[in-house]
Amino acid sequence: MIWAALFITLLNMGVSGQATPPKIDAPTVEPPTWNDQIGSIIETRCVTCHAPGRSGPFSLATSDAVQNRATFLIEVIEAGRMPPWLPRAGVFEHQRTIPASEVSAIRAWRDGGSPIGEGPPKILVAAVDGAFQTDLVLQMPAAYEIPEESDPAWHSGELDVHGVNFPLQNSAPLKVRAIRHVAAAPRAMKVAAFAFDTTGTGRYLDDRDSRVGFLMGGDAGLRPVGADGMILNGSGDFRLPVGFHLPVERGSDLVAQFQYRPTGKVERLQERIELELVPEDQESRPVRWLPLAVGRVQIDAEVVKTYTSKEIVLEGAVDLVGLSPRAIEICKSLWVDAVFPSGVRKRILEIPDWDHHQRETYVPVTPIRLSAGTTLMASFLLDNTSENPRNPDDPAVPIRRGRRTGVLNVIAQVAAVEPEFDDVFVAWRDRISQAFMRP
Amino acid sequence: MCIITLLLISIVVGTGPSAQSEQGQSGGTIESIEQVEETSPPREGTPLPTLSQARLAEFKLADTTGAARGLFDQDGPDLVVVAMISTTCPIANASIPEIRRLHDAVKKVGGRFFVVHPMVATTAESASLHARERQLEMPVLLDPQQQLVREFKATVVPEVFILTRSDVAWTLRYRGPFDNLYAEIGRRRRNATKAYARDVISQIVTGRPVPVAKRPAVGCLIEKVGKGSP
Repeated sequence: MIWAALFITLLNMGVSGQATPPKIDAPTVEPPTWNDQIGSIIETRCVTCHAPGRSGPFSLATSDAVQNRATFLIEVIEAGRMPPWLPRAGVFEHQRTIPASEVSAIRAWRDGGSPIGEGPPKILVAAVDGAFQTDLVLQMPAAYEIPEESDPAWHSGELDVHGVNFPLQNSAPLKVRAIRHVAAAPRAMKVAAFAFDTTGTGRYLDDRDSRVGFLMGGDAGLRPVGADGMILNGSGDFRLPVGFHLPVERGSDLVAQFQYRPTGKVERLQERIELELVPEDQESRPVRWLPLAVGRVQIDAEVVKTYTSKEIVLEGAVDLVGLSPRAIEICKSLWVDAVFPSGVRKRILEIPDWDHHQRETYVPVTPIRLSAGTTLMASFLLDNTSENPRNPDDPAVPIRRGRRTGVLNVIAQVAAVEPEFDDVFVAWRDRISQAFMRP
Repeated sequence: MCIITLLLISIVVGTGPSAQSEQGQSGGTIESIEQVEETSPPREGTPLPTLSQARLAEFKLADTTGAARGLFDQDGPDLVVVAMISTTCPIANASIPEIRRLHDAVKKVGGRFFVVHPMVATTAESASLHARERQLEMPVLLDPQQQLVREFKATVVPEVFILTRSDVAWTLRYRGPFDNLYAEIGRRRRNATKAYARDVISQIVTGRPVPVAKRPAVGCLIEKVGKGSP
């Protein structure tokens, strides 16, 4: 044995007399397999949207489909593009992020030859929110045609939006606790924003437009669309925490604004909305909308500027149950701050890279109690330079816009803690809203 | 009609002395497209990447019926435009109306236009359905072995390649996005404000210089075949 070892050493020294280091095999680490790990990661993180008939542009339900896109998948995850999730701060429902360890596992699987593991490859299934109890269904009777590409701008407002008025004709007030949106063309549809309306604004807009629905947003009077929730298509239902509801007055309409992305072919917009009501025997508090808004924007070309909403000091304690942002395309980032009576300042929402096609209502996992005297404000960084790729104008042009429901707005969904404050809330909020357009 | 077409093609291929000198073409035959990385921005006297007719004539890809089609036939026109797309990439699909406009512009000046699918998973059936749904009337070819992908060093879809022929050499006059609809993944303009590829066709036809021969393409990564990774 010793002689054999010596002989091998001498051979290794060769003619130069220098020993080459003995080859040591690195410990072999088996790559993860599709069936034991990768399939589950993709099913949890991606297949909710990336399955046949869902909102993702392609399916990731099979190992072959993932294998054929593995490098691209890793690239878009690491770039923060997928899964779509805008906020940086806060802990919200539907929070969509992929831990670095899972990305490493996908990479190791790809580099290891994408092994399947034991048995036939698992076919992934998109999760269904089985908890939704459909109490009311609102269906567009006819379809609007989404064009194959965006219409040229005909005014400086938002495009690629379509308003629809759904008459509820409810003979008694309703307590809505969840909204579901079912898109006819899931790959074209992006955001649905809602406002229950008793002013008839939705009907008026509908009557004036000969098409199905109307070719503009659905603000109803002072009530901004999104006041009663927004859903990013594919991200699940809009659901308030237990113990809260959206109050819907008798004889209301649901005004919805659908924001889409043309897909290169004509698509159908014929949406279905489902409502879930609070059971009659369950206590719940009404959720009211509170605008943290900027009514007028005047920004010259090639200017970057921050706008901050009027500071709103709460006259009573509330529970914050949702934040629904909207902003124009040149907005780069936005954030919401709360300054408590103690002077402590806290950032309750931060979106560093705004994309108005990926917005939704952010529902805190636990409602945030804001005491009386708390100040709320939202800030918006606008980039009206030609270099901003989201600027619809190139070269940039001056922008002068006003909207009584807020050109820039983070709608806070709040519920008064004390019934006495709820009694006066609407009148107080409407006074604030009416002041937006004043110089 | 025939005379006009011939005249236009004569202008397109840049056989006139003005086009040659403005572009600074070497006129030599280079058997590789390696220089493609150096073409943006083109400098006075910098040779544009060229490929020999003999080499490109080898490229035959199957169309959606399975028939082999040559892209750079000896007796074909001297302007060829290749649009690499996929059936599922949303960026490629958003470019479809612009692809049709570019096709019209190329057809009008007597050039040939091909759509090429380089994605591994694309089948003749899916490409055919995609073309039908989107009224793509040009030849639609599949590149399952990624021959053209390797030759053009393509990495993403969509990307357009515009080539003109002079004598026995093809010159890559432009590669990159069709327009500026996307600045990067997730950053899409409402509408494109610049039609890069159509501008290049117009510049070639009128004998003007093509100021930018390469722009970075934005889109979905082409997973390469036969490199260990899928």
